[in-house]
Amino acid sequence: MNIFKTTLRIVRAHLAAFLVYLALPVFMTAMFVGFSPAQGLDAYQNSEVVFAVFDRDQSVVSQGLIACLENGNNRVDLPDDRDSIRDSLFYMQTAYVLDIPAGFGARLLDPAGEPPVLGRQTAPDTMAPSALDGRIRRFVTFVERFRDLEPDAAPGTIVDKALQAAGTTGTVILESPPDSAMQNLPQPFRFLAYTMLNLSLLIIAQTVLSFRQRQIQERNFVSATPPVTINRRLLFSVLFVCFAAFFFNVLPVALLTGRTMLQASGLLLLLNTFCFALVSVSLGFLASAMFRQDSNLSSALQTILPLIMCFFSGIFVPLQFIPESVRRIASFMPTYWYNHSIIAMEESVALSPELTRLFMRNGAIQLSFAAVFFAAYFVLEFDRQKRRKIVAAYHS
Amino acid sequence: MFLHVVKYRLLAIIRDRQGMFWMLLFPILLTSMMSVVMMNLINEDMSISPARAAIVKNAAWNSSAPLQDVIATLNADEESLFVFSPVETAAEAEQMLASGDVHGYFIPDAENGLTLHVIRTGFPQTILSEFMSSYTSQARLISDMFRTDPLKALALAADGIQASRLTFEPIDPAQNVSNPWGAMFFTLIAMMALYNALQSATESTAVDPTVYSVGIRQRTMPQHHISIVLSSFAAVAVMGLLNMAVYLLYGQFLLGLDFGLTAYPLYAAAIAISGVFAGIAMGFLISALVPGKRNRHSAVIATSMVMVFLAGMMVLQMRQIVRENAPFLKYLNPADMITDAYYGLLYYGDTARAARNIVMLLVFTAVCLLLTYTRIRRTRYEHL
Amino acid sequence: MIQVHDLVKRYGKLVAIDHLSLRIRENEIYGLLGPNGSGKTTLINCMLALLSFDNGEIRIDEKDMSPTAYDLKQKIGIVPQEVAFFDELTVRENIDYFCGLYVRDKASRKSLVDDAISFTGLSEFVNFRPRKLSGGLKRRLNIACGIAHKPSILFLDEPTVAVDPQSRNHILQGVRALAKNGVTVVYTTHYMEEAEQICDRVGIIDKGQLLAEGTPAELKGMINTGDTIRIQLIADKPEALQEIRKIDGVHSLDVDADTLTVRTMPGAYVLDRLLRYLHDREIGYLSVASEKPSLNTVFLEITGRELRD
Repeated sequence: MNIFKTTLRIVRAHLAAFLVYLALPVFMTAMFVGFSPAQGLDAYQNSEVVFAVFDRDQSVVSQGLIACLENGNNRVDLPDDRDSIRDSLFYMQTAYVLDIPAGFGARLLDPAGEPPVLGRQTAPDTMAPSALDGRIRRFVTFVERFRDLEPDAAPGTIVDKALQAAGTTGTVILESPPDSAMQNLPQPFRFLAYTMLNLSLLIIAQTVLSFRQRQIQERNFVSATPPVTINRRLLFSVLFVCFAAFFFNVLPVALLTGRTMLQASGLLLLLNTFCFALVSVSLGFLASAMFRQDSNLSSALQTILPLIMCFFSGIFVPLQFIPESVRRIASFMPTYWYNHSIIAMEESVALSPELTRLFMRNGAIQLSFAAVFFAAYFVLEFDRQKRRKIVAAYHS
Repeated sequence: MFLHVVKYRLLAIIRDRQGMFWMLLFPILLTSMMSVVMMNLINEDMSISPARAAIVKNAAWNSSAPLQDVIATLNADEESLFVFSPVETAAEAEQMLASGDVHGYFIPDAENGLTLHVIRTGFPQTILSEFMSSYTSQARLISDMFRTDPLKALALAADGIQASRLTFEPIDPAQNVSNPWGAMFFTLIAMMALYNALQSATESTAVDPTVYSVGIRQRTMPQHHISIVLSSFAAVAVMGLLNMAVYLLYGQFLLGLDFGLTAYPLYAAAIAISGVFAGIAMGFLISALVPGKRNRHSAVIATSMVMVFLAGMMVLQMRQIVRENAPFLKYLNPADMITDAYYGLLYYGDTARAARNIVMLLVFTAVCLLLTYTRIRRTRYEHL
Repeated sequence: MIQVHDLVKRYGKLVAIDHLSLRIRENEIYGLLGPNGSGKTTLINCMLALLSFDNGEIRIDEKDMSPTAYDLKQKIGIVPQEVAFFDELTVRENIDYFCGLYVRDKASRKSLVDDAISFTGLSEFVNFRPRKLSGGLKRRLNIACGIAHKPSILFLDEPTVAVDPQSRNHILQGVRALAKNGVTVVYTTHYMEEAEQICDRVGIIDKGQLLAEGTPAELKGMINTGDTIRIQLIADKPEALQEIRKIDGVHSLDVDADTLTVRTMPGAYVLDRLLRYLHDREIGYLSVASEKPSLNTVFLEITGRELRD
């Protein structure tokens, strides 16, 4: 119990760092799930395009065009300045900015007039603008057609008819509605790899290095409790603290995603996370055995290792953009297989036996990594103890 | 005396292997790693890839020449947003959909025009759906027209489904961004600048008798301790600027990243310099507020990492989310100022924006130093 | 040279320095002797204008000591209790760095640094970084950094804590040599032997108060006891030993198991009579030791406890 309490106290001394890693998944989940919830769908819905409009025309036509765009999309207000427009598009907060110039409506309604022109700016890295382009062209085409078909009609009538015609949609059949959990969950789970690795390295490095200070080891060695017992208690204490930290890591994701977590796909993700938890802990122990006395090296490792593993494995950057050679290297990292399962779920529409098998296979690969790391840790530890016995025998 | 202190503090900084690791080696390692990982992403032209669809050649297809024309026209257009694959049977189309070869498939229908089949939602499907709506609405208009005025209907049909003379013009001709991912590296420059705060925390500790015995010695010297602090600032600044120069040159010329050294050398240098100053000043301020050497280093690392995270280091959009929801933070976060300056400069050639950020960084530096001074000017301590 | 008048320093409710006054003369080694936590370091920090204080006055060379009294600081050297130098600089660089904060001229600084190095016996280690030095050598470097600019007043705050005997002797000899060269030394310690060995005058401090002050001989003269005689007995006969009190010149008697401790009156010669007494009563003994009164005895008599309690 003493060792357990001491472990908790050591962890408490680094509470600020732990809180950062515990808060990160909450933030990420809120971002990916809370800010843009993907609903469970029974029928097909078009993806919403976030767009902004600057209507300098203020005509019936421009109002009609805006009404046409608002149907099924998300119009946002944007300050009418260059920097705001640039920032909003660059950082993909808005996918489409439309500038309707003064006189646009008059031009459109005049068959002999200049061709209509619209100002437009779109975000990089998204297909969303194409959808709005199509909608605008459809509306404008209908206005032009009704203008030509009924030259005497009032502008309001033309716009109403155009709106009605443009609103005609065909039938879209969504075959086997997608699993809502599979749309909601994978993204926040992806970032758990980073926080879990950090937490385990931090907890294990801090506690194990504290216990392995030479003087403390000597004190433990001469105490009435056998070293094997102390080591065993330390191991269990650290394991307990790590898994408690992981629990608090996963908990906000589970709470924020609600019941979707209890669906089969949610449980599969939990299983994947559990496998990775074992990997994280085993890696933490291995690192503590390799860099047992050097706290500088240990803290450098704590920062770099999770970053390398996560970057190479596509946790921070979409895997499809990572070069093939880097991906090959990444396949020797457990994070790759953790993320591989998550990507597979993202790309699937519904839970299938193939997907379940893939999760099992990737879980097994992660467990193999954990086994290898634990084995290496124990080999290093036994070797160290053997050497210590030899040194002790020599001194006696 | 000034140069004497600067000389020895520089020596001490260079020999502090751990400090040099965090201030130079770590950013270089991280940048190298990110550039290797993101090479494809940075160089990728993210122009829109077309939406792919199969279309079943059933009886309705065979009897609809306009539909065949539209599909043929769109397939022939190299800039088209669609790629259609006519297939013989619905089963074939279904298989293509299941295997991910197409985003959806259309079944022509003499009565309703087209029916789209998809298995997921998303923008490719939305684009296909929009196409279908255009086609269906036009087809319906034309078929309605046939009942009243067949000649006009024929004329409409001859125009095609989107015959408008409408043209789009860019609102902002300077904005020609095909790929935003390079902006992630600006946050690394910001991190590099802010990590100088670690060294200023060390320097603050060296003149603080409450945490370090050297501070006792330095406080009994026949010099005002602020003059020693300023000398230390100069030493950290020299080292920080050297490190930054090495980093920028390495990134620009060895990794092939665009840090603006060739296009806007003066502005790029000014941003880097003011960023380094801001990092150092922030370190002094944190040290003046946080007791204990270890706590100071932890506070500096935590603050720097939070700042670069909010500036978009791991999630590119984070910067904009923060700017929209907590706009005041841009005046408190030097990482955001540095990122914003490089972003404005390198994506839009916006030198005014870069200059505005440089001024903000210098003001931030001055405010930090002023606050630090007011905090540490008390020359006698209550406790030691 | 240094005058402290009615100094009071409080940490909340705790009075660290309690209306303390003292005067340190030029060219003397003044020892501040007291147990840990008695207020020695606080007093020194106040004298150096590092700590604010609640009441009193500190004057050095007839001038008020303040944080901006740079002319006074120029004359002062300090050797703090904890070693104070940069781990990243070598021995020579550290000494040169601190000396450079007093002496601008590079040429004269070089000879000052060389002097400090040879004075502290660090010549073989000039290019070593501090982490490679032993505890004793680090202490010497700590001193070298404090004396390189040849101060006329030197504050040494427990410079021999955790130091091996060889380095300790080296340090003590050095302090004496400095005093001979005209340096006024303020030396805090809780080792009474050191204070006796090197200090011209000693102030005994406890709980922030100056309890006694004078030369070691004067301090010993203030107390009522003379020599302390310790006899290790073979047999335990307490009832027979009580009669020893009646021997002329015996001040007090203490029997602890098989050890008999007898304190004599100042100047009284008791040993002969004491041994005869034991012989007459056939009380065997293994060893006899006689000690002159020490500062520890003085401290014990003044405070009722030993220096290292």
